[in-house]
Amino acid sequence: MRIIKALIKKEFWQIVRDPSSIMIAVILPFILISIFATAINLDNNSIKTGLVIEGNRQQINDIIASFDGTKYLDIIRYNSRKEAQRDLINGHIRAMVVIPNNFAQSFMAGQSSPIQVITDASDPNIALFASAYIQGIVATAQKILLEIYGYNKNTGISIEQISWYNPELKSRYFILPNSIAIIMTLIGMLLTALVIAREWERGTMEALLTTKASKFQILIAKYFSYYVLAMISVAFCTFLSVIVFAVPFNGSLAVYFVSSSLFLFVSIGIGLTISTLTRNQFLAAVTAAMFGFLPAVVLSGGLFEISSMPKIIRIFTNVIPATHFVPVIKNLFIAGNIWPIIFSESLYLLIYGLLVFALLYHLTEERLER
Amino acid sequence: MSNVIEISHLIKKFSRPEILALDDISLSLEKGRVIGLIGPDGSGKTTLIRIMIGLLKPSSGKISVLQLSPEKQTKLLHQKIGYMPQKFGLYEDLTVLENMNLYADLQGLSEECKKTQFEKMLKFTGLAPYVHRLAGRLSGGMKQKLGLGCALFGSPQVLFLDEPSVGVDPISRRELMKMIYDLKADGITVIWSTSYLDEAENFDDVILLNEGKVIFYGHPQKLTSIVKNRVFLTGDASKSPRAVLRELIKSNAPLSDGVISGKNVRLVLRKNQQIHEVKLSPANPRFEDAVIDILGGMNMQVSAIADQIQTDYSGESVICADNLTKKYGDFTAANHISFNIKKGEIFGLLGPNGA
Amino acid sequence: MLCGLIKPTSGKGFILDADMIKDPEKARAHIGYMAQKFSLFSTLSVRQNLNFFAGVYGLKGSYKQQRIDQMIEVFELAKHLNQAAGDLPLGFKQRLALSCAIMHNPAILFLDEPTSGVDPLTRREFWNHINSMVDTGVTVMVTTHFMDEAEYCDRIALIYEGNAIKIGAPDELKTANETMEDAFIRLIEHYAQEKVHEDH
Repeated sequence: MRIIKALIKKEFWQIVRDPSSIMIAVILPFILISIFATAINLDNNSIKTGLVIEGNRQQINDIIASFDGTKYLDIIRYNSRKEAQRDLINGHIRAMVVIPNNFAQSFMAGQSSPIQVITDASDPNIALFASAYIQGIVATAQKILLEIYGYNKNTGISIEQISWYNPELKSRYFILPNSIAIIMTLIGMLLTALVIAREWERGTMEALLTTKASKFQILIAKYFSYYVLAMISVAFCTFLSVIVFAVPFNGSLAVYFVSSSLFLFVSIGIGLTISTLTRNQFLAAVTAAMFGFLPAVVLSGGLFEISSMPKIIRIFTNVIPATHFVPVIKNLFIAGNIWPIIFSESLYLLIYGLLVFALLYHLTEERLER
Repeated sequence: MSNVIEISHLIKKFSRPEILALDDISLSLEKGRVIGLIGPDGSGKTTLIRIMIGLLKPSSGKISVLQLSPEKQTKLLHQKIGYMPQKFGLYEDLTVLENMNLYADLQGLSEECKKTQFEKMLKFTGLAPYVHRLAGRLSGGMKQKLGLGCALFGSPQVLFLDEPSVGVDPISRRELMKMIYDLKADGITVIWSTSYLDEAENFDDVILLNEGKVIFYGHPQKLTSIVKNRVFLTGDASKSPRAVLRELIKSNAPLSDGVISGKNVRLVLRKNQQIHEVKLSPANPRFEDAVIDILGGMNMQVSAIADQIQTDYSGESVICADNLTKKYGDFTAANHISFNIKKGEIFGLLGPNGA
Repeated sequence: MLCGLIKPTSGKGFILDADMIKDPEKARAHIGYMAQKFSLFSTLSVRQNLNFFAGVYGLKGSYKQQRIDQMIEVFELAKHLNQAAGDLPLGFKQRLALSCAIMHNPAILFLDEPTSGVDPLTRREFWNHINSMVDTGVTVMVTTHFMDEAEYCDRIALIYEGNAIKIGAPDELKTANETMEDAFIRLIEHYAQEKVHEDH
């Protein structure tokens, strides 16, 4: 334990004294998150939304009042669906809500009653915000209506949502979780890819190997130090996103912590493995960038939908740890704890990480030649 | 048994590229001596040291260090030896004290033990004023001392130094030699590889390696004695020493070695040979003379380069420096340096590293 | 500084007729420079290195080819032409670095720690070439920390803490029975003592 502690202390001094690691752990996340945050344009409290009421207004006054009362949407009334659609196409409004002719009757008859929501998905973030707010408003209105008209198990408002322009909603919004995954890959894989190679190049590995320290202890100290550095960075990113830029986070922090840890376990392992195999900082950096970092950016499903990739690449994406982390973190931010995904992906990362550690342990020689 | 290291028929082959690094080496090294490991580049010095400390496996043959097998009892052996690799094995981004703490902890020293050892080591190395300086910002000599100090934590019985003098100025080299002999007095055995032959004369024993074979093992003076009565100085007041040497080489004089030494030429004659062309005055043989001789002597050929050079410039003074000064902030790298260099002159700038 | 690679804070320097401060380009054309650790491209072959440095020094056409061929012949590089410079034995690396430095026929050769880490036999071979060049009138300036290498020089400037504390022929710096190293240490200690006196 004393040996591991001494090694960890050493790693921390090295991290603190190396401006590039601070750069990657703190400054880069700040830049990435800031770019992301400004790019999604968070002026969401005034999304222009059209409201079309086709039927009798009196019976649904409460719903209309809910829409009018919100500060998140800027409600513009239209008399006909056509007018609203025209403005949506023009870009005057970003979303429209249609309360159809027979809504009131069917609701009072205790049936499921649809409200139509059309969003302009050419700006997916705004579309996403708009539809989220509309859902919220409708849910509140439904509660009020049910209190007035009584409860029937079929009664309720259903929302038929249509996205125009970009029906897949491939959103820049998802860049947020992905950018955190990228930052974690940077620290977990790129920085660690340098550290063992650096020890070989500077001849310090030789000195370490002739001390009491075993290869297990040397590896654990490296895993731990870079894990802590990456977690600090993750905390910082999350703070920036959630507190400063008011991005919603719907999942559990404990799950977030565990899945991030597992993801780093794999990434750090891969980085150290690259470092051990190359024993050369330059080569290690190039290898980590080519086989670790770039695929994490391009193929993890954060930027491009995996389902639309060719089959061979789809199979390959499984090798990239980020592929199994991005869905979890994406859901944690946007949707909340989706247990089946969390369990299956976490198990995958855990097994993957253990395999990588076993490989790394096997590759790490206590002698100079392999 | 008083031998610390026993080696018999040790062979080390590397693949890719295929090299026979050590070719059937057998040695018995005595306890409590300072043993120099010398030889040309690529002769296998570093490989031999690394095998002795278990960082490389022998391809065949037997080796034991302190009655332990470096191959199988590696960790046990590491607790009994100290090793300073080339470039000293220091963390340049850690301070002197942080390096000391790290290596002391890695050798499992207790806090009490650390305190006394640190005190002793700082006194021994004179590094006390620099404990908070980054190791990367120490001079070569200080790095060397720190590296040595760190290798000594855990009170090793055998100390291995791999090329400790590279990049270190002569004053520091002498200090290191003195420190090593202080250690020897405590009973430590030291294995020291070097390509500085002038260092070798100070060792108790030397092992001379060439192309993976042991050419000589014994007291350095025993080796030096093989060129006894064969070393001479010659000079000609009317000619430059370069001209004298060139003419000797051209006339196929039976020389094993010939180097310029100030205004004279230092010659080592081949065995049982005489020269009558020039006046010779006997000189004290040096270890290096013997090494060159035993390695087969230098290549006695006039370089063909002279025919390919045209020097069509004239003028007496070729380089003229007048009060040159270079400052980096507070640090003066060059302070009012002036000199003139004439055509066809060899002008040396001699100084410790970083001078 | 004399190569014009760094600019002095004050003072003057001339390489032949060229002022190294006002006209460093011209001054540099007279110089061949061989750096410590031989600034070769270790992944390029011997021939590629020769070609590259010939190009850098502005050699062209048939003259360039002629010079390269001469270097290959003189330094016996023919066997290793297609080998990567980084894989060469040290002695050959040194030869290649030297041939790259003198390809453009410089009047002056700067050698920066040329034999650091090189064994004595290889070092002799190197100086054999250097001596031959000097005989034809090439001027050599060499920095070294090897004391026996200093003996090869006609004159030495002893540099300590940025000051030239002594300039003279090797035999002038040494007293009888002193090795160069003894002399070096004596002179530096003497200098350091005097400095202490001055400071008081």
